[in-house]
Amino acid sequence: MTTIYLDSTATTPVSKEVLSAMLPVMTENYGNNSSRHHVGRKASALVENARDTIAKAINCQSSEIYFTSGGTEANNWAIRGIAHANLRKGNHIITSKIEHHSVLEACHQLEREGFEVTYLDVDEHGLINFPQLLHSIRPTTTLISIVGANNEIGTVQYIKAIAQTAHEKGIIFHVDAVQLFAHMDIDVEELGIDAMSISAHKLYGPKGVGALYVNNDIMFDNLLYGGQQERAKRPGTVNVAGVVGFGKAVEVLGRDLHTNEYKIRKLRDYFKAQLVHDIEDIAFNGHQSQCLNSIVSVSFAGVDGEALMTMLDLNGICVSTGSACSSSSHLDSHVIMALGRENHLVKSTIRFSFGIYNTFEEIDATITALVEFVNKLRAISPTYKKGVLCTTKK
Amino acid sequence: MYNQKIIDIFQNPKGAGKLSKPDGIGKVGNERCGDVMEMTIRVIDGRIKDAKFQTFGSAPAIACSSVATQLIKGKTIDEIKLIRDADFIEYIGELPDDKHYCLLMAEELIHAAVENYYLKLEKAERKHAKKHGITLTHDDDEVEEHDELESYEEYETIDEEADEEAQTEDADEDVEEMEEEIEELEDTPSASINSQPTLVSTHSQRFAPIDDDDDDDLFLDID
Repeated sequence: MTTIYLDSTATTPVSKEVLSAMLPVMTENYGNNSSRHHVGRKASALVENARDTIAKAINCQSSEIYFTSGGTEANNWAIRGIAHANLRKGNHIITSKIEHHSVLEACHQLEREGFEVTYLDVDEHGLINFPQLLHSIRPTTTLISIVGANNEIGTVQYIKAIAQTAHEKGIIFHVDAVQLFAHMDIDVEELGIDAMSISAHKLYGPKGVGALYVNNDIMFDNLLYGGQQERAKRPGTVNVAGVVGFGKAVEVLGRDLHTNEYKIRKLRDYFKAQLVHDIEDIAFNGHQSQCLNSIVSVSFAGVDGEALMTMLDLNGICVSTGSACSSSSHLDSHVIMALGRENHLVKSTIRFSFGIYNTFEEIDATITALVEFVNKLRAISPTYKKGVLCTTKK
Repeated sequence: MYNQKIIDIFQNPKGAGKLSKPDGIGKVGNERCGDVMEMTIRVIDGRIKDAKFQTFGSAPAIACSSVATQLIKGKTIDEIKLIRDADFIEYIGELPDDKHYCLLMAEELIHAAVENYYLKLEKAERKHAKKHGITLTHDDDEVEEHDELESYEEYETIDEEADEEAQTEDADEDVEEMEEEIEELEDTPSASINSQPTLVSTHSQRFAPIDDDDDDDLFLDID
């Protein structure tokens, strides 16, 4: 059984270039970048080099990049840190209903601590409701946090417009760009982003390392307390090998981004065309043009998403229902629900996401498997009625 | 993920499909908030002759409902009441904690189908009694209560559909023979109607399809 990995949104393999940059750091340049001796200074140079690479990639200053243990820590830190540091101005935060759990749960915790949070609705494509955003801004609003590109449907938000709205009212704007950064050039200065979370393992880098960009003019509190690492903002020994891998991954991404995106878009368009051609009664979720090239979220009417995922998995094809974070629970996807989809379609949703290592042959094999399994599951489904979504095979 | 037993049953579930002209239909769960299981049963002489399921749900849900059909086949209704979790677990192994509800749903499914079978019996009984002007000793209120059940109405519509199909199917059958049979049945002494065992047999004679065989399954049988 060959593995077909169609879950690049969950994570990606470490590329060879990244690995070869990381390996010597683990064995030869093993120093702690906080040490003052030459081994430590060598490690420190490597970390700073990675920091410069990332700063250059998003057009900010190196001193504005803080390495973290990943996207979740970056999101938690941005939201909690900014909310608490700006408590004097107010205690109101605006976010959306389709955020990643690391943002939503951080907001829920803030609510328990006495903050007020507005969760913006999204339209059926997953774009935030702008009039509602303007309407929810209060004098006490300190932070707007919006996911740049959603991890389940891939819809990309109008970041610049949100940033302008925020700045007009003197509100700090944080973007969860964990997914977006892997697929798009981001210029924080041009877009007007004050804080941004990114992660290495979505762009062929290692797991367990991410970064938070925070503009030097923004006040934000620590999440962790301890040593003087990361200018005392993020104590804890830096994951030097991970950071070096992250730097390398960003460097490679900058070089290959357009080639990668061209390839992924071709794969995605081919997959969608084949899917529409071969399977009836399906619905695509999310915006179909203003979206990441890598994600296709599909609802198969009358088919339980989890059952379909299990069947594909038994045949070597890796996909996920909703996001990887919620796949292990039987909770319905909050994102697909927020789009206003009928409940039974929420349970029938599968997310396919493509990466640079996928091939057209893999897509053909996936389509063949999908046709077989969808028909098999529909045959035993008490809820499936032919023509329910009015899409027919072409 | 799931143990091998669940995977095996999930990939090749036994008893998938739908019986035409079933003696009982059970449905548990609903589309709005989760898994849906449906079961159709055929009862002859108080024994489950055949059972089929249809399920919208995850692998364990499909496996559990498949096992449910296998567990009740050939059993009398009294024997079905003795089915326990352990009987399921023998077939499917241990379930993950968050999937234990599938087993409970499958058990509920069996009972829903049997309950529907009894409701149908009662309905047939009342119809028969009304026709012949017999006063039943059953508590009428209780019967009325059943009538109000929403699910019962659902079954009614399914029933009608099935009957319609049955009519077209049986068009080629020897109608006269059928009528004779029914007349014979109607001549049976009315006193016996109040006792359960006689009823069961009466029912099975009346409702048993003439071409009773598995060939008449409407849906795909993916055994």
